[in-house]
Amino acid sequence: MMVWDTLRKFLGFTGLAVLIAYGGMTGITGSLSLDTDTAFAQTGGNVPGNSLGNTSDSDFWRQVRRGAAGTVSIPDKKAGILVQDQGDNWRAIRNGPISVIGGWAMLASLLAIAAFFAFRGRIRIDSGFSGWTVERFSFLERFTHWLTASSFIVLALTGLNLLYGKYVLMPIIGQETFAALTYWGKVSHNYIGFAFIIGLVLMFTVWVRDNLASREDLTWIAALGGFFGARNHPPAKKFNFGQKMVFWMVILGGGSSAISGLALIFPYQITPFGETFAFLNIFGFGLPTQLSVLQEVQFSQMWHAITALALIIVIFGHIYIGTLGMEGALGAVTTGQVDENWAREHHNLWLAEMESSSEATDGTERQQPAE
Amino acid sequence: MKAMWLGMLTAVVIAIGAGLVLGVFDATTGQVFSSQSTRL
Repeated sequence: MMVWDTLRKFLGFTGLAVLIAYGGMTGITGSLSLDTDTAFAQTGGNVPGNSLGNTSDSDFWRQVRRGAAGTVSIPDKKAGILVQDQGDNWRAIRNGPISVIGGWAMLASLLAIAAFFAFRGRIRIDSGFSGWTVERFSFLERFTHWLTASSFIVLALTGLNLLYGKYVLMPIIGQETFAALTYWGKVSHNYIGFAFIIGLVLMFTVWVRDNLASREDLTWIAALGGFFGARNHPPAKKFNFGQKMVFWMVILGGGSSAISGLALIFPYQITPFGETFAFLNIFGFGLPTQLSVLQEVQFSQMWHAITALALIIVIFGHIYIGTLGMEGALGAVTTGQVDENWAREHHNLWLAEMESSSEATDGTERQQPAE
Repeated sequence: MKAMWLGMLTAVVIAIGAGLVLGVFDATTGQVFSSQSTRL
């Protein structure tokens, strides 16, 4: 009996081991008969053998994955591209370098302004208020400034929300509030952009003549704008070199941002990047010129963000020097009046022009007292 | 200060006007310009 029991157990274990080994081998070879024939590669999209569904669409789907375009009869032609894989690159650049470098650059500019304020303090009127004022900006100039400035502030806040709100605001105000805020912010952004564009056109028309380069600019640059050290006031006409730089950055940067913004709102009508790249290729850049609508939109979005972030940084400095940074400057864009001593220290050549023209017209030396 | 407030008010009026124009444009053409930019 002992012998039978031992033999039965041995056969049982052996049989089980053979079954497991067979199962493993069939799984590996894919053949019940343990056929070890060499596997054949697919040819022409057909899987070799007699398997069901032997046509492979891998090449087809690979092309779809890489942005192959089909045709559609619906108005939204973008639907012809099922997977637009340049979107991966766009997303990586938007959420990577643009957001990260932009965020650090804004923070660095604010820290630089704070450091400058700590070092220099508020730039005072060295000779004090005279009590006499002179009209710095006319009604139209101030109107233009605030049309552009107020629309820019809304655009900047709603735009920054699109880029950083998910990380900064959403954890504080919650998802639902953030979603509503972002939706209405985006709508406001699209529509108030037109006010900004009109403001830019007006601003260019009103101020371009005073923002052309002049000899005094070199003196201003050599004196570092008089920012370092009291009683250091390089001569300037209506606008000094620093103000001219702000003007041209607003006109060119804001204008460029506006064009890319319009391209985002009207993606089929305004496609600036193909032509821009073709122009740049004259200088050997080798950029792609045959861009799909979606690629145009992606380039527009990235350029819109870059120019807007740069402009925001410039405007940080502009707001600082016009308010906290310099005594007596804010009145220029609120009431239009600035103190005569302020004008003499910061824009002496302009004041001299104003005084001479005032004397020539009505014989009065000053326009009106301050209070 | 009037110029400042008028400038801000004009910005709002232009924005509302742009919204109306684009809204009418969307409604008459069947296109949705103002939402296309979200479809990257």
